[in-house]
Formats: sequence, structure tokens, C-alpha cells
Amino acid sequence: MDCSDFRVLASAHLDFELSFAKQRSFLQHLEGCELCARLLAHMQKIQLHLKQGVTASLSPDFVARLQERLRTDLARRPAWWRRLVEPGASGLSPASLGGLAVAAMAVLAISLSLFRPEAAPLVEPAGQSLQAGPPFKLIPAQPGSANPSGVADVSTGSDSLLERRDPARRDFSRQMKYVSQVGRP
Amino acid sequence: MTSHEYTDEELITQFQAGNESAYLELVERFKNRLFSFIYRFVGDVDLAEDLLQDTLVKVYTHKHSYREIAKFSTWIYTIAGNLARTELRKRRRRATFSMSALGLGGRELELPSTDHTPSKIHEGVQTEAAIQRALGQLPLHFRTVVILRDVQELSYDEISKIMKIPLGTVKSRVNRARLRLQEILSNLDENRRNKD
Ligand SMILES: [Zn+2]
Repeated sequence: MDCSDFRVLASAHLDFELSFAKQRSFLQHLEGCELCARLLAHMQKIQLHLKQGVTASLSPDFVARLQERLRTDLARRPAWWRRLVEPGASGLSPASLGGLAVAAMAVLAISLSLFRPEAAPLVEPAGQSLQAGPPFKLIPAQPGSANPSGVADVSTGSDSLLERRDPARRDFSRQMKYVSQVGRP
Repeated sequence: MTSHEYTDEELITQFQAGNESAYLELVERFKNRLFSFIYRFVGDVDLAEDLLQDTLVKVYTHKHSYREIAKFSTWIYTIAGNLARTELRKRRRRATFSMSALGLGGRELELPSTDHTPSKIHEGVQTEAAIQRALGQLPLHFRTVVILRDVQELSYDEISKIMKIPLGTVKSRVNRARLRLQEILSNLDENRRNKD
């Protein structure tokens, strides 16, 4: 084993992931190479510092501010949206949303077949179609095929505290039409 | 059964069914570790708090996006990581944009080229500030894995799911990130010695 092999295996050694044979030759190199011994000692020291955590801490009123923000944010949303996300018997699950979408499409199809475009508006004002539909029950979320990993990317959208505080930031991000993806550097 | 006896996955399922206390329990469980994750990522306490708020609001408003087949921690780290990366990239773009507007060129700031052989290894006093500064110099994909692994102590398997990259890639990336971090800290230490 030479110094560059050692560097490739350093992390696996720190994580106790080396096989017995590799660990033996790793330790043999370590005994005879001062540079690699210092490298490994430094890496271990850094790792220890990282594990110790940060001295900075959250403001004591963090949770209270979060609750206040949820209250004001939700109050600003339209009633139909609140029914979608607020807990309680009137909440809607994705499953019932699917049913709602089918119902809405059916209504639209019937409207199209009954009326000529110039005779009546095709799209109802927002919110009305929800009230006209059947009552919905909360159904627990089921694992669906839409997102098999179960890890939805919900990190884009209009909930950002930073963007709401700074309109310039929002405008800039709109110009950039930026979409983030974890794991895509 | 007290709330401490429920798993994270049971709590989010209860929250999906309308139990707000379950949400607050999840906030209590995750707020400090997510804060240290985001703080290590962005290096600014106020920004870290704001991003943590955004993360927890997303969990509230998008609770039905979570599916039981994934660990809750994987889901919430994905949200927090995405928000932090998006914010850092926006900041970098704005910095690049304002530099080009000033006629300073649109090149991204780069690390000074470093010696990749282990000839310079200094083990000076590693203060938290130095570590944080060094983390800030790591490219985002290296920073993410090293924080998830060494600060949050997540398994390679969970990191692979959060970052949506194969297990082998995670392992080699963690190794390269640790080596690069060591290199940056060595250089910082060498610069400090040269000044003294
Ligand atoms: Zn060596």
C-alpha cells in the first residue's frame, strides 16, 4: 500500500468499514509513514470537533414564533386551501383530492357538452366547485406510486420566510427560475 | 403511551390524521439537530433559524407528501437540505451577478489550488470558527455529505436516500470531503502560522 491508497481508505478506516486484510495493510502503512499518520490523526481530530456539535443555539422563543407564523400563514390562505391542510374532520387527503379532480373533470366535460363556449363561462370561480361536491372524509395517506421513494421535494414554493421578508430576493429568484435538487451539485 | 414512546413515523401519521400535538412533538424532537445541520451548512445563526422555520412550515403544509415507506428523518433532512442549498445557491448567484454588474467578472470564487499530496499537514488548534470557515469553503456536495455523516451521524444508507445517490458514491464522496476539509484546515493553519 502506498500513500494514495491510504488516502482512499482513510474514511473507511474511520468508519470501521475496512475488511480484516485491508485494515492490516492500512495499519502496516500507518506504522511506517509519518505523513499518513499525521493525516489520519488530523482527520480524527476534525471528526471529533464536528461530532461535538455547535455552540450556537436556537432562540428561546423559536417554537412560539413558529406557531404564530403557522397561525398567520394559514389564516391568509383561502378557506378551501385551509380545508386541505388543516387537521380535523374536514381535512382532505391526497386520496380524496384525486376523487375531487375526477369529479371536477367530469363537471367540466358535462359543461362543455351542454353549453357553447360563448353561452356560459367554462370555469367556475375558484372555490365554488369544492363546495358543490360531495362531503369528504379524512382518509389516512396511503403509499402511492406518485413518489415511490417517499421523499417528496417540497422545498420550493411560496412558504419561504426569507423570500417574504425580502421582496427583492423573491423577484430575483423568479428571474432565475431556480429549482433545487438534493444530490445534484 | 406517552409521546416519547411513539416513533417519528407514528407521529407524522398521527399528524396526517389531524393530531397537532404530534406535529409539536416532532418539532421538539428535530429542532435542535436540524438547527445544527442547517447552521453547519450556512454558517449563519439567523439564516439557519429562518431556514429551520421554513422547513417546519413545509412539514406542516405538505404533511401529506410524506409516505410511510420512507423514514421521517430522511424526509425532513431532504426538505431542510434542499432549502439550505437553494438559499446558498441564490446567494452565490446574487454575489456573482453583482460582481459582474461591477465589472469584476462573473467567475465564481474558487479555492486557491492546494497541494494534493500529504506534504503539508498541520494540526493547529481547530476552533469551532475555523471548522465552520473550512466547511464554508467546501463545495456544496461535499459539505452536505460531511455534515450528514460527521455532524448528524446518519448512516450511509440514509445519506444515500436523502441525496438520492448510490451508496458507493456516498462513501467515496465522504472520503473526498473529509480529505478536502483536512486540507483546507491545514492551509488555514499554515496561513495563520505564516502571519504569526
Ligand atoms: Zn503514507
